[in-house]
Amino acid sequence: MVTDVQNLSQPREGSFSPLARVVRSPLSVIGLLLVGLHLFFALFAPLMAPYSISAILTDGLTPPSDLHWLGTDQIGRDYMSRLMAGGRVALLVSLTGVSVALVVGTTLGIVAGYLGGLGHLGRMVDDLIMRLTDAMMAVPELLLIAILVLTFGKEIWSLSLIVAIVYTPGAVRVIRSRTISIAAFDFIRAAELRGEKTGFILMREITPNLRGLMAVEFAMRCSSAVLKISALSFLGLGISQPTPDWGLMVQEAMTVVFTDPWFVILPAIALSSLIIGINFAVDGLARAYGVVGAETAA
Amino acid sequence: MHPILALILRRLALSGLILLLAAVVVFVGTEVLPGDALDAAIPADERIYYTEEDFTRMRAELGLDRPMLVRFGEMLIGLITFDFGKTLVTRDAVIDNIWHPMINSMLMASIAIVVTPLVAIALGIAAAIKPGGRLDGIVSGATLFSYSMPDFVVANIFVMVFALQLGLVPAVLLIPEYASAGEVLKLSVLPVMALIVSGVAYQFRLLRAGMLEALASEFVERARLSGVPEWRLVIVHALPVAVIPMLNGTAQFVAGIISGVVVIEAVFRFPGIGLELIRAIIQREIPTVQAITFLAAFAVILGNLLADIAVLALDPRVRRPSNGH
Repeated sequence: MVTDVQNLSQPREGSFSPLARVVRSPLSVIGLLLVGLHLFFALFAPLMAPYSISAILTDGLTPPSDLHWLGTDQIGRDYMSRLMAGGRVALLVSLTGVSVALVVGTTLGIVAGYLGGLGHLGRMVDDLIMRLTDAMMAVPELLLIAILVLTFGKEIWSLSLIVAIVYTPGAVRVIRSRTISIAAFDFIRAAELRGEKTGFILMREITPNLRGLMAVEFAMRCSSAVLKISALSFLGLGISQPTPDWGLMVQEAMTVVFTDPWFVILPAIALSSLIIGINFAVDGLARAYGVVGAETAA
Repeated sequence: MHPILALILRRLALSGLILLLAAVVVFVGTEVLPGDALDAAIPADERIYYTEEDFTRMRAELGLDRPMLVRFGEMLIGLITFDFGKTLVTRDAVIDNIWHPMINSMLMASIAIVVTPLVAIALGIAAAIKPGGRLDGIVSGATLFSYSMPDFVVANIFVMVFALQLGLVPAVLLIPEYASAGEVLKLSVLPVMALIVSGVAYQFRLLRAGMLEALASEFVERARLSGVPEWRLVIVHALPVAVIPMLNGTAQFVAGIISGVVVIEAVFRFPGIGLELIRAIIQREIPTVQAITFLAAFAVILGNLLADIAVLALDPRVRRPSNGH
């Protein structure tokens, strides 16, 4: 029998499913709408954009006009087309990278958390995994991403791989700590006494109880990854020309911030609204699944 | 041996082990792929000026022709003894190149590390005295936003508001590399403000949650019933409990400040270790990159160790020997 820990530790409010509870909080509705809007633009920007993102249409920077609603940038490319597509790479890289990190991190976290409680050998495996995550997390995320870019390059696939590597240790820690608290429940003890195989206990008894936490983790790490990838391109170390990216667009526009601050403000708003959207949604998600503060704080 | 001393020694040993592993992470992260530091340091279009013999000779000089394990051992010993070797092309001592930028950055970072928790605690107290009140609402709402703002966006907003609109500070920092500490401090006000925004928001949220939980607990209720005033409950009873989750997050906090320093320095052109790191990465100057990354990990681990000791002092539960792990 698969038991739901949420039912044991946290009485459900009425008969609402977690998703229904997310939708009841106004903040998370705003968050979900923002995320939806951004995903829509990320998916369909190439179809909707009035011009190509790399076509040079004017001699340098021009103010908004009928032809170019938001003007053109320093090189003479249509600004609105670039703004609409500016989140695509960061989102794509974050979504794929964090998914991989979560799958690997959950596997390692469950193994470490459950085996750590079983005998000497398990304890050693747990210790090894934990000290490795400690060491990786001692290197600040942005720096770790930056040195891995030096090694793997800055193509889309390498950035995804880097995000996967950098976000795995955090996922391991969170999943491990939840696994330890799940393993203390009687239904796990019961499964052990029935003589279930370890694989069954990990896959069928523990994993289903991690779904809520994994959803929260996924969204939270995505927002962090988008931030880091944008910061990286802002520093000139990540996504490079002619690909439009909000971080890169802010950096390019810093030279004209005195005369045309909008070229800094617009991509900044676009990026911030995506992060704010994800974080608001995370807030609602965390409440709905009863995942609280300190556990997700990383 | 005194049990507390034993616990501290244990954490010290553990930190040493993690530092060693962090050096491994830095080495693997920078040298895992085929091709060596020399290949990376010399751009392809300059390669025609060198013959194959030049490369062989330079590799021998740099010791790159030796097996990877030997070089790894050497670099590891170098890093943990704070001997960072020489740069690849110019053969300067790495430490000479990074010393002054590092001091500048440490000035900025250490102010941020002290100021952030103080501001967070002040806001946390203000919010917890009347939870759900107007002040709490404003601060909680503002931190929800500012927590989500990218560092470089915050920094640019500050430049626009404080420098362009209000004209209070110069928008572009011009700090000579060998400026005195006083000059650096004077010009660091705006960068530090931009640096602490997200940290304050994050710590405030942790602290507020902890305070509300503590204020609802039985020991506080007991004190409240015996007539202790609310401000005293917040500061004397709830605060020490609520500070513990904040201290447990020290590693992430210090790591966040260091990531932030890199970004903020790029916005303000602040001559610190962040700009030096970016330069080293762009020029593919691997020994410098390794040194800076390792020093960053060292700072994070040291911060975490100090916070662990502070938690030992604050929280009697962790002092029980059985919980040493």
